[in-house]
Amino acid sequence: MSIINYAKKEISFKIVYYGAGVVGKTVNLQYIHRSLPDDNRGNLISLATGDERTLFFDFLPVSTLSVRNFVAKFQLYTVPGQVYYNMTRKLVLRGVDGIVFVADSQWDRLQENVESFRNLEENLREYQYDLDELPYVIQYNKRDLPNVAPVEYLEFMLNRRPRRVPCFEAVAVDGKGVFDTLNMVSRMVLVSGFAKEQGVHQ
Amino acid sequence: MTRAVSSARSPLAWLIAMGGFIAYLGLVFVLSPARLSPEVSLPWWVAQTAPPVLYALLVFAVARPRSGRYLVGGTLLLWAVHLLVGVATEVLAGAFQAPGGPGAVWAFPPPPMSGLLWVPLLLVPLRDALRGDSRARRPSAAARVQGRPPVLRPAPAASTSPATGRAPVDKSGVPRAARVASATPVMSMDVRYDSGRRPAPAAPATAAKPAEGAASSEASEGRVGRKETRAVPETSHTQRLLDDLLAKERSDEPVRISFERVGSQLPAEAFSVPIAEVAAALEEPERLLVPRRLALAQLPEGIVRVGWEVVAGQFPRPLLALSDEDIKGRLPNGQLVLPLDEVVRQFSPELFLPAGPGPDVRAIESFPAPFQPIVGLDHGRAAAVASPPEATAAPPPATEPLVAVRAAPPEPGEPQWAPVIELDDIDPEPLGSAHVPTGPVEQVPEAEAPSSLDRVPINVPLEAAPVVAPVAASPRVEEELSAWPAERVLAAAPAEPPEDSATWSLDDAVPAAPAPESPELSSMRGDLAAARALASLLGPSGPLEVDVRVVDGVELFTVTSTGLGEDLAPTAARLILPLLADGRAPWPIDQVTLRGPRAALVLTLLGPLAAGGPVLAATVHGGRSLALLEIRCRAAAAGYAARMHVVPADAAASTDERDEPDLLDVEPSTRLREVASSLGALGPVTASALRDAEADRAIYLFLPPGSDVRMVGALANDLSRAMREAAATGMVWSVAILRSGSRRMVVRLPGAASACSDTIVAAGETTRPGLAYRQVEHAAAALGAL
Repeated sequence: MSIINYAKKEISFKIVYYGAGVVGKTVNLQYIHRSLPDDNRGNLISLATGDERTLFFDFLPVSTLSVRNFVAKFQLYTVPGQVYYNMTRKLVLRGVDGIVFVADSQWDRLQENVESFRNLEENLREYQYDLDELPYVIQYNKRDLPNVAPVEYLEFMLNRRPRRVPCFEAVAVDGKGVFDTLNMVSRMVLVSGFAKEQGVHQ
Repeated sequence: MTRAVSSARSPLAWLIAMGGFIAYLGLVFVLSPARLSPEVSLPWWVAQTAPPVLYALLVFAVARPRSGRYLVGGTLLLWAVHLLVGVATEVLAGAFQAPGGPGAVWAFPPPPMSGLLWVPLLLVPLRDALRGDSRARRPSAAARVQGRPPVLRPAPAASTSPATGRAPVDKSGVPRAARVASATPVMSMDVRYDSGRRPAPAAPATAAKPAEGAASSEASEGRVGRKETRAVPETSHTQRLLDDLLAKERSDEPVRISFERVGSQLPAEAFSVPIAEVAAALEEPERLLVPRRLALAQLPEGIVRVGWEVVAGQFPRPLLALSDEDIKGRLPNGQLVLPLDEVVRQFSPELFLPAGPGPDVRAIESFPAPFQPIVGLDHGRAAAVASPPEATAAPPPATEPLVAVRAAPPEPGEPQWAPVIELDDIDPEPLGSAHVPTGPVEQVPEAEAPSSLDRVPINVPLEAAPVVAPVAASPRVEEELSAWPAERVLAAAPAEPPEDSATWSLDDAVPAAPAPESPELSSMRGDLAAARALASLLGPSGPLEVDVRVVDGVELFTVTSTGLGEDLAPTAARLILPLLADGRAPWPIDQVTLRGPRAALVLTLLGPLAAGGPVLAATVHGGRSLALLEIRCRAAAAGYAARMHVVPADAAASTDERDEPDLLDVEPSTRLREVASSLGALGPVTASALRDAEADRAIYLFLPPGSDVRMVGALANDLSRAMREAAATGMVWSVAILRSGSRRMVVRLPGAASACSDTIVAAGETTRPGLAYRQVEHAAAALGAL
């Protein structure tokens, strides 16, 4: 959950990039890390195996300009996508403020996307989080590949809950859609965070 | 099979009730004139109180009401009907009797008897209503409008006509059994998982916010726990979406699937003729027909499967060499996986459009976009490709750390809000029995990080600790060891790592001062010790059995997960290792990975094969990621080579002694060239094709420009022959990956058990071997080889 430091006028949020294995979560963070000014980013910590699979998580702290007299800081995490790292995924989800669900657009990865999304729901449920109340967006990655499913079908599979959420097509390795996704989830998190804050003080 | 229609909507149930009523009228008609009413000696109040008691028992026993309210309601309903029947009996009996006769209701039949004869039959149509859960069994509104059942489930085994040997097929080409089964309603999507759904790590039903009007009465009364209140709308929302989907689809046209894209899933021995002839002889040539609604109901899952029994009727029976049960038994879960792209394209895009409003993000307008990338930087793909440094690709040391971590104290100039990552309570689920140390991890300052900090090599900043897997010697090894003096065994091969595992290394496995003994014994002891030490460095692969074999003059250190045959690695090594020797490979191979459905084998060369190796053979159960195991095998090999001063083999493989491969050049098709463009992880590759005329098999090659196509093809051909030979002995390997530094060569055998199948070969330099492997799988799928 968001952490507010009134003395320093800072508010910190945790955003988790979630998804199946090899969908491009780490690539998102790498691109963000490369593209942000030094003043707005910290170090990217990435624990990966030799074949570029995230072993535990990636972590990138970023900050923004002042928002309503607060400096908003975001801690971006990824999770390992492989099915047997579920305990790690669950741990990373603790205290999450916003989620980017990264989906692989290729036909033969669609089932893994669906299973990963259900895994997300299940893990959130264990923390008593409700995905319909949590800010999240969906990113359909790898749109540059030839064998991708149409977005309508991807939306049909992954974005058909009672509350529909914003979605973005992306080619993370080229940076396409990366910042659109990040900005959207960040703004949703800010709305949610400040709304809760106002609720507390009312 | 459970029907999901309420009993109150079953015509048969009402017919039974009506039949009972007519029988009752007949009884009155026959018995009243005869005045055969029995004498009842019970008090009148007994006759009046017995029925409600009996009806209460009947309601309880037959309808099983979910609450006392329904029990009381059902009892009162039947009792009221009972009284009405009593009154009707008096009227009817009076009508049938001669004037002046006894017309009292008490005369015939006694009221309890009259009601008890017929009223219980009302339970047949009303049992669901009295149970109190008619809502759950009621067909959806959409299905009612359509006049057809709501959801489909895969069909049961199709019956086969004894005359023709085929399952009955209707006019549209869909087997009748399939059509009947596809029309069988199922009220929950979860039911579809019953058959054929592969185990998922966590696949609960789709959660949903309590939808409008979906809150159950139980929830409103606060009698149900939180989980239950969530589960009810979950199901209803999912069900409603599926109902809507099925209601939108009005066509009954079957989905047509190219047989060439699914045929390879069928075992080749299932047919008595080549697969091409089977395709031509199908009910609709070259196409498999799948019930439309059966496919539609699975579309939300991202995968569409169909049971063999659904399509079996489309195959001419004389062409089948196996029974339906045998064929089904050889398919994963008895099902074929349909190419999703073909399935989806046969449905209208409008079908997938959401019905509700789009996402509501109006509130975010009060916040500007927080992040703006630096304009003008080269963030292109080239940068991304170049970013993984050599340090990432290089194998980490054997003491690969497992995380651990807590952020270091912030350095001067570092943002004070750098987070503290508490992982002390992490569940070492993927780590097996590994020891996870705790300690600080320094964030690498940017200036020190390789390649702009895209990847921090995990061995650099983290405190390292070795991963020690439980190692158990095979019985044979234990037997040999038991014959030695105990102190020698302990000195030679520490079965357990020292407590201070941080100092445990390969050095510990080698005796510092061997006792005097025979050279053979000393050699064997050293080999076993080395094998055990290597096994201990392979990480958490579960209990392992360690053995030392000699295969065709090559020493083989086998490390095998329990449950896998101890001969698996030696048998495979006997087939594969000759292909890696005497210059047959175009590049010096340092590791070979064989993947199969049941097991995976990683062969890592510890020394030159010409000098007798040795070779480390790690065999683990299939279906898991092998990246870490491969890295650790290479790290163990590097440690072994350093310790044993192994002289590397001559990198330049001689080609002088090789025979010219007997392969015919074939012009690659356009499709093949298209597929080549999808193998980006291996760098630029060009498509080639060869044909083994003797075996009548094609070899599709995707190699870097300038490669010796025939040489690679010859190696791949030999390799595929060896894999087929292994398959004949029961060891199925479908993929072989040959590693030579940063170069990978992936040999994909579509059906290792198949006698006639083509081979796909892709090779090239890569820093993303996992992606390369996946792209080859895609290529194989695109070529219809899967």
